[in-house]
Amino acid sequence: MVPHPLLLVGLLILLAAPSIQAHGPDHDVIQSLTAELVLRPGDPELLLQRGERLRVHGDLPAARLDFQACLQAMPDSNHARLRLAMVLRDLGESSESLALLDALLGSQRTNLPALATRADLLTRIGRHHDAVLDYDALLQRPGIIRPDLYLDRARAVLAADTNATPRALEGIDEGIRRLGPVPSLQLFALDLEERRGATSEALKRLDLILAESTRKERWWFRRGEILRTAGRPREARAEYRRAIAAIESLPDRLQRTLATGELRREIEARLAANPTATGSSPRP
Amino acid sequence: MSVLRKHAWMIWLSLMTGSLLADKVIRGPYLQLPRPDSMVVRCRTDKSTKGIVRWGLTPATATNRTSHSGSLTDHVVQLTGLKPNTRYHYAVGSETNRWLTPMGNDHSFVTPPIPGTVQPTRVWVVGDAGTGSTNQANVRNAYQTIHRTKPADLWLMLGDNAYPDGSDSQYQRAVFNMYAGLLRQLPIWSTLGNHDARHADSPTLSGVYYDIFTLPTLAQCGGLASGTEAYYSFDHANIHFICLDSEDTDRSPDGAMATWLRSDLAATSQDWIFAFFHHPPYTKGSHDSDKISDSAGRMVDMRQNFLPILESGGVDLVLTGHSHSYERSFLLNGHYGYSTNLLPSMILDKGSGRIDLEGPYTKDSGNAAHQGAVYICAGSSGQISGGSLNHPVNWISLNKLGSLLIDVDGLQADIRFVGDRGQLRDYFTLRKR
Repeated sequence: MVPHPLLLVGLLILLAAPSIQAHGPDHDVIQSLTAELVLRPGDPELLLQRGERLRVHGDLPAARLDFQACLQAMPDSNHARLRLAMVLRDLGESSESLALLDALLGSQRTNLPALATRADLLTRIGRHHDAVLDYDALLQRPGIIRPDLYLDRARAVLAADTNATPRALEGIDEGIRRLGPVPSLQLFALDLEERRGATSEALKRLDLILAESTRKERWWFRRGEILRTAGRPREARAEYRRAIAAIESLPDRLQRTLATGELRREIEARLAANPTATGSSPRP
Repeated sequence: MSVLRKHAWMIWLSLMTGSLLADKVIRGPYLQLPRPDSMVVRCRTDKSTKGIVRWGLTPATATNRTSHSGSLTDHVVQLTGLKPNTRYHYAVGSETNRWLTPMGNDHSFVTPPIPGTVQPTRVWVVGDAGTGSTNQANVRNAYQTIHRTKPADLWLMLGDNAYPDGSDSQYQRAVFNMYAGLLRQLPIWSTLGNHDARHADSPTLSGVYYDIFTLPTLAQCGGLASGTEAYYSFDHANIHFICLDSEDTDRSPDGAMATWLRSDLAATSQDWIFAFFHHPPYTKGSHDSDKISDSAGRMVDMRQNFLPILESGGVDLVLTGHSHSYERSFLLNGHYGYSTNLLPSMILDKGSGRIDLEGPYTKDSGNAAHQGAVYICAGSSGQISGGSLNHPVNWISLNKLGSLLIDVDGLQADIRFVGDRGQLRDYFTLRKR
């Protein structure tokens, strides 16, 4: 019995194409899609499926070929255009990726994954102002509620203009209002306040975190650190002592942990370094 | 008219039995967001209706009613004002005021205790289960036998809950049809797998996975608010659970997930910390955690960026899937490189962790940093896919079907890997001094 020539071709492709080989369960699916493509060459749906499996799997050059072939067969497929743009971005082909995303968003302004991809790409290539516009558009949408996007926008705002800390903070606060007291946003804002020397604002933010926390020792210590940096050593000492008291109020098993022990030693070193601090008087 | 008269008795009978009005529960009920004082009951009906849950301490006294507003097919009803550690019976009904599920022991749940309470807790864990196959059914059946004697208190799913693409119909087959009886009694917590991600999107928290699960964003069940359902934490008794998204969320060390994790770990006072996510940091199964190209580097990212944070925070047990095998480590600390970089000093206890052999793995109580953790890849609850299974961090690696049972009692945790016929394939103990 002579095997069908197409099957032979398929077998040869499978054997000779290391770039489309995968690992684990995806491997079987990619192989099966490849075999189907032998029987239905150029089928855009199959190319899209295989390209996506390859993209997720990290075989970007092979994924690129599939998405390009898919777009040739189906030039109006925004899905294929977006996937190709993602692959090109990850391959460092920024101009090509951006052109595709611009075209896509020109016809579909509310395509959220495309907006997110373009915002990320613009950040990568240093066009921070434009990235901020895309992040703004994304975060205005009701469905988007990922904390990372608020951080990414704040970083882009600061990268675009180092004096734009107030605007970056506004954006972070918008995220906190929307998502709740999320530490990743609260701590980012706290760092920004400290970096710009806004001691009272930093302390206000820290007090909000303290109010939410069951374990307060680290936050009292951080309060002490902020005050020490601000040249208010007497108040700093008071906060260090509160941190020690918080540690001592913990159950034994928690006081004995390495992390708590290290924290305690750090606080005690601060207290020992400045035993009779005579800085400015305590302020509210 | 004569036709109508001829069938009048049938129409009457149908009306009496409700079949013409029939709203039918076609998914669930299933339980989410368990708290000492509340529980979310979810289900899907075949027609839009107002979902109502009747509940109480016994079937006979279940007179409380809670409903949601509007007419829907996917119902999410939060029962509030519950007591901790208490069994409640419930039935799901519709606005036609008919009860669509029976009231009985298999439609009941136990609320969690107040966080920090020290009491025996059983956790059932399945990984990569969603094949909808006989294999999956056998693993489920093996657990069910155990469940009849002593049921779990909660249930973790390690991702890839529905193959191949995590679509709604695949979830129906591999989760809701497969586990119908258990879903009515055990609250589930899930992490996102790569196959689930094909119909889900963490950046926009949309798609089938996020539609199906109601997960905490604001620390509703303990821990710290993450602001997203993609990763979260919760407390049950004296255990702090952390779920990370290794698939579709920024895995960089200064990303939102890592920042949140550091704060969350620093804030917990529970005796135990168990973390779970999909991609294993150590595997030589159907995936290879040494290959940067495998799974687009997710396993390497988790190992390099998240293990140092988890171990600094005192994690005890890390549960993952992705490879369709069972791989369980020694008591391990500080191994963030490739398998060839493993140093003997990173294995804190070279024994099996078995009480009847070399003795349990022992750690200081509290959440001491770098006292060692055990890493388990348990992705064989629906299929096995082989592999070299020779990662040197592992005390045992098996190409066998099964699921995990974790029994925590005070400062001792007994972990068992139970095969698809109920075989005890591995066991070990973690104990805190």
